[in-house]
Amino acid sequence: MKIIKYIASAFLTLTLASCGQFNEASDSPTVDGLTIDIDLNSLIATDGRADGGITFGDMTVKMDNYIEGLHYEQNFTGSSTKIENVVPGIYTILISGHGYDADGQEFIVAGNLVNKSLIENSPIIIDVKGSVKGSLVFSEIYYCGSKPENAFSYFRDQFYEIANNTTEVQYLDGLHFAHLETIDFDKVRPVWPSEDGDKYIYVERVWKVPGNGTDYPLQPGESCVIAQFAANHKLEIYNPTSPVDCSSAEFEFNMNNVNYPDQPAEDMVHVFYDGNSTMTGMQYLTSVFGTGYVIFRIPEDEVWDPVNNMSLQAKNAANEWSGISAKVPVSYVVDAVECIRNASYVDAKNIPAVLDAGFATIEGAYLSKSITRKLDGDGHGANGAILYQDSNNTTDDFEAGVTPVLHRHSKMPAWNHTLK
Amino acid sequence: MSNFIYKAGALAILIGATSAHVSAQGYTSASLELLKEQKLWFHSSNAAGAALDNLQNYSLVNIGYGMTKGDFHRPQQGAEEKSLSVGCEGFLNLNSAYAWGEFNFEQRNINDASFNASITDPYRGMPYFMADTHLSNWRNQYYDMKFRVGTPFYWDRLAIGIEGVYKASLAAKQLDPRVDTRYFQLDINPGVVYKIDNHNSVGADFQFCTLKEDSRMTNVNVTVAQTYYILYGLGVASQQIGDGERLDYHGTKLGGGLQYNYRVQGFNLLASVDYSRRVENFDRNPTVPKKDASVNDHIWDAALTAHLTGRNWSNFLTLKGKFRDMDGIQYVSTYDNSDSFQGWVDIYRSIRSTYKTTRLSADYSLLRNRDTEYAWRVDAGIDYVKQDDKYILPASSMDSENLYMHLAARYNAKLGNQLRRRMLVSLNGGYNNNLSGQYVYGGANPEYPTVTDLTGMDEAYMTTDYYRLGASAEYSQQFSSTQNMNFFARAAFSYTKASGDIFNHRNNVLFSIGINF
Repeated sequence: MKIIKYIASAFLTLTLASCGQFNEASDSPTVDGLTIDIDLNSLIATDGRADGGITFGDMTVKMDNYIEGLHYEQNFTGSSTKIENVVPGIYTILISGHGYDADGQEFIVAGNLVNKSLIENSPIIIDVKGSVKGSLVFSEIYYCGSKPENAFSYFRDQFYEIANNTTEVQYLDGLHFAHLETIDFDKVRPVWPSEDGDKYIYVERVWKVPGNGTDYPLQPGESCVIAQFAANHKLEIYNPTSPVDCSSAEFEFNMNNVNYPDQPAEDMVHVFYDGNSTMTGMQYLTSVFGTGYVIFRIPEDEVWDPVNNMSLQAKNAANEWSGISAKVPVSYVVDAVECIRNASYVDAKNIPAVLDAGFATIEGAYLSKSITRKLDGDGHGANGAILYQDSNNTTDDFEAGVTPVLHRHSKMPAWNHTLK
Repeated sequence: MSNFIYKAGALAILIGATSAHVSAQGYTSASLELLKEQKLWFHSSNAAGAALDNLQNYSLVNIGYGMTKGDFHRPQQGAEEKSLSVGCEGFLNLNSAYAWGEFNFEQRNINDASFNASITDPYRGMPYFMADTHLSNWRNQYYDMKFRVGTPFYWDRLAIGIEGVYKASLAAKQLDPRVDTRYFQLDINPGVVYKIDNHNSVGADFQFCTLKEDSRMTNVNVTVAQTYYILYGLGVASQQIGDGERLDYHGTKLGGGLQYNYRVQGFNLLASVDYSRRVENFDRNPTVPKKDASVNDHIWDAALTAHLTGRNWSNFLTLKGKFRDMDGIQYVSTYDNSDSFQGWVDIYRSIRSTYKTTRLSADYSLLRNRDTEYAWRVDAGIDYVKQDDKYILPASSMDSENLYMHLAARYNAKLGNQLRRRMLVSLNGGYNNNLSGQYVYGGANPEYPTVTDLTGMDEAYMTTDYYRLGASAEYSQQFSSTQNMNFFARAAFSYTKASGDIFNHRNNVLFSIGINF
């Protein structure tokens, strides 16, 4: 009978060990659709853009569950709405529309939440801000590089195009360009100083456009291209299968590499990398899987010096290998675009929703594909302007996976070196 | 654990290789088949019932080669499958204990299988796994060891027994995204049988099973990111691009069975009911684990087997019912990257899908007895299967209902009195009549191939009428008149012809040789 006791006690132990897993399965409820009440909290009056109460009109709420491919969209008027039968999950919620103050002045209203877990019937409050369209916008970004016929990869042909999105002249002088730390393969989100709140974005390397204030004007309908290396990449010595000839680019990130010599394009001015202003490395390469890109401008009455002002530096606590990043106040940002490796990386999105509620992806590297901003309507405005869609949601504003073209819609500025 | 596995394996091989014989001439193929068929308790889940079965020793060793080919298959099966197997089995009456063991190894080469990029067997009751659209080859190895040990009746009343099962498999997908997946399963099933009197016995057993599958996906060509899908049931999927990730399946099954046996001279009846519950979790990336889904699987089995035998005739009747009710549970997780903890936290879970299976079958066999074997036999049966699967929100459904009728005749030709030379030939046929079935998809991304090509084609397979014809021939004889060892060689062929325009046919051939003693 001893053997029976041993067997009985062994199975009692095994059974008890399984209890947690079994209880969790037993306690799982059958899924039920949620009713989500959405209330808007207007921050427009505190933006300094307007005073008084705001009336919302032509509002749209979009809820995207990228993991499950579920999308809800509803139009409404006023400051609240309700969406029913929502599948529980993780959502990006975007509010867009128009607001009117007491004087009837119109604002573009936007607000969003990213990675919001919706698991119960509880109301959510979304802060919305008023804005005008960005004066300068990224109009095309080619980050993934190309695949040579007999080699692994080629990434010198990356470029970033910035366009005038107004009907008036805009000056590039002093405009800063930066990129964010790339999302790692484990999709671990960075940890920044908690006291910063949501006031900053954290950039890895910063450049700026040279000039004295009026040297590099962009007329309505014009754009400029900043190339990693402003050469004709189709040449035999580079990569004949590259889709682009960047020799007509207006600017380049010249790193004084003898193998990739300085080209006629104007050199961008290096500002910051890992706590220093000196250029480090043989090349300026952003991730071929995509990352966050930002253009920002320092207000005339402020000083932004992340090299000497330590309070403008931060380290990502989630990654001990990270260098020192520079803190850029959100209010400085002119435009921001986030590109990610593929849609599954949206959980680890780096750029705050207030700057870019969405993302773009070409879903691979060395594919010779770019992302390009859509035109707003037919794209034509006064004074020959080319107007682009700018809802601060890259998912909506960009078309991804197109063959890269310099100055696809807009013209070269008159000061382009090839026109002199 | 590993110590136990070695002992179980050694026992299985030892029993298979060393069982002493009692029959002076050994077994013909038909007599060994009949011997095993008559062991009603052996076919139950209770190892303690060995004391009530035929206690003749036997051993069997065989090598087999099989090939299956044709387009009438489920999407995740190979267009062509070839297998080479080696197995041994034996029963040993030690008087103080009854031991049975079995060991099987199979190398299976699966060619042009699609929509599986993570697990060894996509039809093992786990709807959550990764799939890609490429037709790919798989190279799989299966190791399967079982043993049963039972006691005689103590005090002429109580027998105890235990069954152990260890299964392991290695499976490797040969095309990016490549997969190396390893499956392990360990079952321990103790049981008791109480003999009420010489005619009536009751039994009970407890079933415990733990399983694990570790699946690792990689790309050899790292410059080309692959598109793949995480399947959530009924075609619902999340598209991914890249070089994949590591998946961790771990589950436990608990269950039990009750048996009742009535036996008088010439009649033996066993009724049994079994219930088991399996909970298996599907976690992604074990280094930073994220609970993604799990299944809560309830299975009820009921069976009634009766054997009526006379001087000239034997009859077998088997009635079976199986009811499966499985819930698919999905988790909502968020990444916590606070200073104190960095990892995924599951914040919500719910039953998102249900899978119900009803299977009823009735089989009858009539045998013309001849000594310890049969001269011929006729088998007839009917098999009803109903599948009713639902994805709850957004709502999708997939169901099918099939009735399969089959008939077989076997003739055991006596080629000579010397060396017990026999030729066992068989003809069989069956017809599947689909009664109903429909797949309605109401979820996101209806254009995904997981909806159109995987689940849509699977439903097409499940709702196709077909007929199947088969034949086999098995030659056996003693090695010599002084030895009880018998040699056998078997060849079997079946042809399945599907109706409709989607599928055509599927062939299966099987060759095996072996010895028994």
